[in-house]
Amino acid sequence: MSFIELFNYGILIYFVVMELQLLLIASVSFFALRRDQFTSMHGRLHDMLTSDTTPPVSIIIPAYNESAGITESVRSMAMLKYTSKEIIVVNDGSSDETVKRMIDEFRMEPIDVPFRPSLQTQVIHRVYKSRLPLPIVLVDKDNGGKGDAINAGINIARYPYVMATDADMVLDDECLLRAVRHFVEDRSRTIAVGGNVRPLNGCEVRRGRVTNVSLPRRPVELAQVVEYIRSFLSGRPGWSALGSLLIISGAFGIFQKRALIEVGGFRHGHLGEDMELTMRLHRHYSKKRIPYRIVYAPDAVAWTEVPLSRRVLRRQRMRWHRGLMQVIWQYKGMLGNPRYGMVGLLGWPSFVAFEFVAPILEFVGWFVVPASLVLGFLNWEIALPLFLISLVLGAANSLIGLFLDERFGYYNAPGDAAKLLVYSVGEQLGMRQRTVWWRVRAMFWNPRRKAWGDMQRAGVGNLASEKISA
Amino acid sequence: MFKYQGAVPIVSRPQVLVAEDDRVVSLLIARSLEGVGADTTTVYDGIEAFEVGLTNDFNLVLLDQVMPGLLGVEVLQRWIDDGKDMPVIMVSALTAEEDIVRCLELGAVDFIRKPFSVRELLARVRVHLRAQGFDPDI
Repeated sequence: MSFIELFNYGILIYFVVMELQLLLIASVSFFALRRDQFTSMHGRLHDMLTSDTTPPVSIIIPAYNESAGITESVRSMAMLKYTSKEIIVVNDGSSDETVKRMIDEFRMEPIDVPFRPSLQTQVIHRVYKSRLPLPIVLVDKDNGGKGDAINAGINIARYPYVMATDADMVLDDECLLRAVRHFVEDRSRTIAVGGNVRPLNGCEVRRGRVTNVSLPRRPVELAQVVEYIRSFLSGRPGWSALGSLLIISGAFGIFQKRALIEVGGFRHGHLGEDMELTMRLHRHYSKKRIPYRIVYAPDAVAWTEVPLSRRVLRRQRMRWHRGLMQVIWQYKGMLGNPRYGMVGLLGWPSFVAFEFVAPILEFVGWFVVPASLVLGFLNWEIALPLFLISLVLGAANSLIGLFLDERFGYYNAPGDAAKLLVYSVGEQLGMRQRTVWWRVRAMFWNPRRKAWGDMQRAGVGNLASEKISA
Repeated sequence: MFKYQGAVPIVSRPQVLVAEDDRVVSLLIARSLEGVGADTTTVYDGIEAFEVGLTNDFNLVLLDQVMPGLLGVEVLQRWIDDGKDMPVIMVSALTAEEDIVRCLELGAVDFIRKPFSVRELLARVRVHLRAQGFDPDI
């Protein structure tokens, strides 16, 4: 067997192994989701609403030039079903009227609060509090990026748990309650809970709530819906159950404040700041041998608008991949290190192998394998089946995601279900290759370091679209 | 011929505004109040509540804290700003003591915690209506 042959089969087998691994995780997810549904049923969610022992949460909304939507966003946070919460809007040195809008709308007035600067941030100019009986706080600080803004919010936060979110997220009524359930279940060990983020595109939003879920029209968006479902339903529940959830989405994550302060909060100007933070938490707690849990809550749902155009999507994905590379480099020491338990031995290595190495191999594969076939180095009878198996397994993986999503019952129209099915299978040829190409390009791409990103939004979820007539 | 000379007409039935976004709870409150002889107007969001309250006079308002559009206390604040003086009972699941105290200080006459019992709600409603001289038997 020649080297070329060996190399080719290696790549093909690698594909198959990758898909099998995903399938394995998906089956773990299946059981994890079932168990989660069971415990949430018996956890009596609504008792938490009236209980005095439900831990209070500080909701932190970093805001940079958000004057258009900030007040509606704060209102929608205030409407979350939860007993005791405070809403902290951190104005990150906006150049627009974010602060003025907040002051006018919620009658904010400056107060002198003593706070402990547990995390270092840019200068905080002033802290405002609402004169209305609403637990709203506004922090006005110099620009320092999103991570810095969240850190400032953590410094001001009064409560033991903080929720980091974005002004443009559309949250479900009960998402906070459902996420905090995991803290309540295991208060001493749980340090972070991540929620289920879904694409908002195509959904109907009224007054800060999703009122009707349906699929978007454009193929770019549809493909992302399938992708999010796969990642958040067949991937994360499994990893969470195995104790190696590696990403808590920064757009919707709830953290124990003490843990965040201990590890130093969000890193400024990091492209993959949410993943970096999660990895730092894993490393810190494993190193100190403190038992901890980082959990995923599939039933805590928040909606976000995903890119509408291929160009914006490409930029987002390249930025993500860049961030991922940064994180991998930073935490390479944890690879295969038994000291870090499941994360070091299973979660992190498979993440690196299948998120970072796989695109490279896949990219090479798309050139080398066909070329070798044409030149007669390869045996059709072995190469073709392997190739098909990897495609079929990949599609199966997406289908399992759809199947797992069924229990939430979001996409009910027969047309929607059919579309999702078609896209789950069709994604294997097209979207998958495109993502690989972007990832490879990202490796050689120097991102303009814009901490806030420059994602263009179409305004599907524009919370400010309804004017307040008063 | 005798002509009615326009003394203030006495409304025998108290007018109550129920502002509550949860339709089931709203229906529960409205039916209970009607059962004891009050006329109810129901609105389901904050902006509507503000406008209806501004243009009509109610003997009592039951104002939910968490409503889309405008939050309950914002509605209350705006009525006060516009010189509208009505007895408002806040209904809310917000149980932080500080918030309750501040609601009362802002101008609410009472605060009912959610989940509430209908009997208690009715009893409190009667207290405030009696104070305005309505029939104590309603």
